[in-house]
Amino acid sequence: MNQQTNNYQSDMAKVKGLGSSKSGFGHWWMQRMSAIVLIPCGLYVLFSLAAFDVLNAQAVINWLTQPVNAAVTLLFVLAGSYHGALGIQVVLEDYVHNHAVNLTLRILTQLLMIVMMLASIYALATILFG
Amino acid sequence: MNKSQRPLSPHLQVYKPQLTSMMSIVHRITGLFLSFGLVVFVYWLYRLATDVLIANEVMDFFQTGLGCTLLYVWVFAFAYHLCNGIRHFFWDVGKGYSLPVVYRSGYLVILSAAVLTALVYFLSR
Ligand code: HEM
Repeated sequence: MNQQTNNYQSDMAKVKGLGSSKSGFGHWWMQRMSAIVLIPCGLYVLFSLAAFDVLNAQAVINWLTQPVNAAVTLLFVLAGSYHGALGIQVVLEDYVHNHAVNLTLRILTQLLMIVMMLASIYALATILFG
Repeated sequence: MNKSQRPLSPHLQVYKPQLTSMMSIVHRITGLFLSFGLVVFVYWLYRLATDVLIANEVMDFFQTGLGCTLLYVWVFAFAYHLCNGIRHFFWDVGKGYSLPVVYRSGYLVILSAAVLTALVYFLSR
């Protein structure tokens, strides 16, 4: 991918060192891919929960023991955590100009993303498989 | 050059608020608010699996005035961000850049987000 991007640059642009910083396209693309996953999964979870007659923990647990529901919910959380972390990185790049602070916040964001992914996998696996 | 003296681009000080710029910043704000909401959602999922009592307490909170308001702000934020995200996809493939179309798609996003939120509201009654 990087190789290819470079090929589109004029020689002058290469010499002047302008253009993409090499990993920007991947970030932009994954933001879009995760968004595409989020549209159906988010709507499914949202409307399923809204349609509950009695909304309490046990009812939701019963709903989550259906593998399809658990899978879509998991996909929603995984894609959402990833998409959110990518998005927050852009916001940090725009407003936090101190390099050390920026890097620290970005690492914290990514750590939180991993914790959220693990917690949701653990939770849904526990509900599904006892 | 003294970095902190340089104005931020876009130069918000001299810009009149307009639909386009407002919708752009709202996409960002809803994105951040959704991220915060997702943390709560995951915490609730985790509690569903580990401690049903606490999971029920979380759900009780979202039935109170404050909780319910937060919940519907989140639902609207999701609906808005989703619809405006689709608007972004059109821009990404190079469509919809003329000013009249940007305004029309903007109003369409706000309308669709309101309709989606209303749908969730009536479905959950
Ligand atoms: C729980 C769900 C979601 C969360 C937590 C979330 C979070 C975020 C965040 C934090 C940003 C960065 C905002 C910025 O850079 O200004 C963002 C950007 C974006 N989101 Fe989402 N989002 C969610 C759902 C969606 C959905 C369903 C779509 C569907 C189309 C979407 C499409 C986008 C797009 C296209 C961008 C990039 C906008 C740009 O390039 O300026 N997001 N999101």
